[in-house]
Amino acid sequence: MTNVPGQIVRRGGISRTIFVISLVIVAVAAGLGGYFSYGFLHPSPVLTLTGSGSTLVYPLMSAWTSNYNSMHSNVQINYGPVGSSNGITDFTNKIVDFAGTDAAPTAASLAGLNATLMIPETIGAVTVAYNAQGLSTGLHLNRTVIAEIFQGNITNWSAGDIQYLNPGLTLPNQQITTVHRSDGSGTTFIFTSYLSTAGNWKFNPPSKSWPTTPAPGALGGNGNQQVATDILSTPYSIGYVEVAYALQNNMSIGYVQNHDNSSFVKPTLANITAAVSSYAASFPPGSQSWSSVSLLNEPGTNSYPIVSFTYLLVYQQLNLVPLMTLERSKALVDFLWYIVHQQGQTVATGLTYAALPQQVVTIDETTIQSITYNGQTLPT
Amino acid sequence: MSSSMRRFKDRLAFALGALCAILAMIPLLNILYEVVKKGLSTINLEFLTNIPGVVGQPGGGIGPAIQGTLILIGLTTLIGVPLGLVSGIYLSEFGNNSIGRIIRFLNDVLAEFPSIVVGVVVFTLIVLTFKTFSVIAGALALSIIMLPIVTRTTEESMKLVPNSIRDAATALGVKKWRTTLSVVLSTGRNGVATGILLSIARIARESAPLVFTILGSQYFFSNLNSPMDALPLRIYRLALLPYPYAQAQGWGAALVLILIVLALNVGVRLATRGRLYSMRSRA
Amino acid sequence: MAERRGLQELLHDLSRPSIDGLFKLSSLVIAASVIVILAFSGIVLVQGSLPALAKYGFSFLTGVQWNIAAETFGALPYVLGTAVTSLIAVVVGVPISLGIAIFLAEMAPVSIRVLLSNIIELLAAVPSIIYGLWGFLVFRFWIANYVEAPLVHTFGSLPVLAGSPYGLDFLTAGLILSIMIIPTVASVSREVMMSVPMSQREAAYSIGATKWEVVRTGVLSYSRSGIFGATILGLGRAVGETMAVTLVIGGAVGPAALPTSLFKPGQTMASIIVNELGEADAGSLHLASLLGIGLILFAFAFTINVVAQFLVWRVLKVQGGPVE
Repeated sequence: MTNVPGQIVRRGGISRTIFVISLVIVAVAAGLGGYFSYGFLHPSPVLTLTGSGSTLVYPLMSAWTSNYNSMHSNVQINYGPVGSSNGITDFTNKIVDFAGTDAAPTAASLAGLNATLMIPETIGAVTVAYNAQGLSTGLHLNRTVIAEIFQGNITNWSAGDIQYLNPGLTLPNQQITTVHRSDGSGTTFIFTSYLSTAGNWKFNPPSKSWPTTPAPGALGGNGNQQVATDILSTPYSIGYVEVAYALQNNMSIGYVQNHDNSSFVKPTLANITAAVSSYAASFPPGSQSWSSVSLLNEPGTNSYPIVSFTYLLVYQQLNLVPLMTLERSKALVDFLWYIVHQQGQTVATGLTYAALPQQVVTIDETTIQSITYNGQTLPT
Repeated sequence: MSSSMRRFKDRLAFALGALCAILAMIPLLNILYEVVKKGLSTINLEFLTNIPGVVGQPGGGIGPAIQGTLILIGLTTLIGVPLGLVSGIYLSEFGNNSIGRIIRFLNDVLAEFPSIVVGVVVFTLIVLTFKTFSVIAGALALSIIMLPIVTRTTEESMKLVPNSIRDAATALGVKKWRTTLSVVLSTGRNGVATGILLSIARIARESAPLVFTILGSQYFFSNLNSPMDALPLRIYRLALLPYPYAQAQGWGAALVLILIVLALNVGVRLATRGRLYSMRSRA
Repeated sequence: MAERRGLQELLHDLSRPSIDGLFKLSSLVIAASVIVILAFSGIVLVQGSLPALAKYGFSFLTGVQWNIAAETFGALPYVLGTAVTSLIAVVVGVPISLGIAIFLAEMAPVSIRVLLSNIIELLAAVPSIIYGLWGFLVFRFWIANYVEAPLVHTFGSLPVLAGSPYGLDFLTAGLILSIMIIPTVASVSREVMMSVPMSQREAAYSIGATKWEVVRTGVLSYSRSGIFGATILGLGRAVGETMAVTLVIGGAVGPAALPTSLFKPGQTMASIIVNELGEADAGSLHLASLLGIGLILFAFAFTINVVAQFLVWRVLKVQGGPVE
């Protein structure tokens, strides 16, 4: 090549362009290779189902989908832990096949949608977890004091109200940092519903969005997970998390006073189940809203007061969900059947979620059997 | 001012400059140190190829996330590079007029779109319309981010080719389109290829647009219309989890991601070797 | 090449079909895809945020409440949050970047120059989510223990330091942003300084100036606007950054997110969108407000970058023809 003045001249070494282009090709190839390799390894068509929502049920849902996938390797159920509000919105927008929420939508909020079924799949408990040096687990708390702490009226660990409930303990003289949910959360709904029974809680009505309180330096975490992480990493903090996260991470949890004010209850599986067993009213069918069902403040010496069902939302006529097929509907129904019956419920209790009472299982069976695809009921 | 005072100021300026350099190096070195120290111990073949395990229990890996990142890179390149290449060619060869100026300006506007806004737009236009989180939506979002970079770097590289070359070709009777593709583009191909690599390095590290488009997944890729995992997104989800195993996996995934991005950047370094420096800082 | 008005050219080509004309036309069509993308984006943002803008008008920018159930929304806390974190980023990051740029361009011996510029580029290559991971798991504890705790200990009563000095707050977010903008500001400043003609420096050297004096009189004053442009570019990057900020800023909402103190948790425009977009029901005022914030964010980034381009590209314009 003759030297044209001004032309860019290459100076030896491997051709840069070839090197660069080969990198691009490698990237594209790796990607497509990944695509095809899965096809070679799993020749049977894969059925994918997508759900999203509640982070309260996330550890359990993760175990369920993993177990179900080991039993039916061609069914992949993907759950996005984005919070109950996000799950409900995804469900409304029909971009997921099912949604998880701890706050049962009211009949009014479902008015504009196609017929929606509510399937309570398990029962969770909200703990008050904290991280205060010098304080081990088991701090005695009642709803009045909890309300005062979270609304910013009690700002120091050594406050008299806390001391009164814990006469033997030396409380640190440190500012309390409260941790709440920054995203729309069913756990927040459960917790604020509980606090509103205290009488001194100013932020009514209960809602999935945490209210703006004057509590100094209150931290907002995204999902139950980040609330737990924030509590674990922030000194002298206190927040509300589902019991599974608290136990799995050895967090200090408060023993909360029960409904009869007779004892301070530790959130164990037995005490959560005791709360469920004390529920006296009847349950509505799955085709109606469960927003009136509350397991809070159940009577009984051992009944943990902050307990709640968590629900899966499914459209009754699955053919109305875009991209839904008969095969995927069958898989969804089979999965739902699995989780509410004994196999699934054993997994739940292993993670400190209470088992569904037989009454609720029966109602869920009817609900699941009412799911149709193009008018066809689906095998269970 | 005495000369020793001036010399002192000179030394002081040098010292302060060096101090600034050291200050900037400390966080970088610490990040690399943490990522390597905490990530290396997590990385093994299982970690790189397994699907994530059950939440709350140690074990599992980031296989789907790595596959997802590679697939996204591949798809985005397939969409964004041709578009950007041709746009850059247009702007460089035919763009010296009012239409060209408008397109150039709009291209710069697009380059300044915060990536979260790109994610929002693609969520509304693609995810909500087609009623599913998908790999396609993620690739489209990343292509929107890639397009202005490739356009801009292609245009600049082709503009660097001296007009004498184009004139020489015309003088020999070669048509304009042939000149552009065979002569000008091949002369400027190093710069163009560098720009492409740069843009790939840029999109490989994006995470905000992925949150609303691919949702994340525990499984390997199944089809273009389903949710998928990707390294930046998985790192985000792992960072939120309180479990020690999750944080360790987050560092491991971070190490893998940094290695991928570094490999791309080393490619850019080898390809430019000092010249065309201006391009690197603008992507 | 004689310059013709674009439309004239287009019509000229359309009237005389040829392969060249086809090539030009088809490349124009593809280049115009950027117009399509922007148009769609504009429609989505503007149309989506109309309900909020219609309801609040200008007071959307000054409103402080953010109550989803009561459907009251105001963007001010997040706008201020972005402003404060970006300001911290610039105040801390730009001087350091300038120091590096001057050091690299004018003072450092060649061996260090290469090593250092490689390190700076490495900083730029680190993905922002990894800054977030590191910030959330490592950096915030540094700041909490070595910066916030001593400050609270000595000056605790100052309102600007009130809050919760545990590292998830405006200060940490701002400091992480400052680290992230260093590569951009340093490299563009360095380019600007390097484009100062040697004659400026030679003139100063010829009257016996020291290196620092050469820099101060010959280079810095000449490249002032370019350096300012580099600062604005860094500001633009800080404004748009999402994931790193979201992980360390603490997630406050509404009036609690107002940046009244460095040590309190807050929220920026980008982080509120990431946190809440998925929950906002289609057609709701909530979604409209979030899209409105997206629009404001885009306007911020756009304005900042137009100003920066004007200042920097003027100094560094790449012309057709051989490179010097």
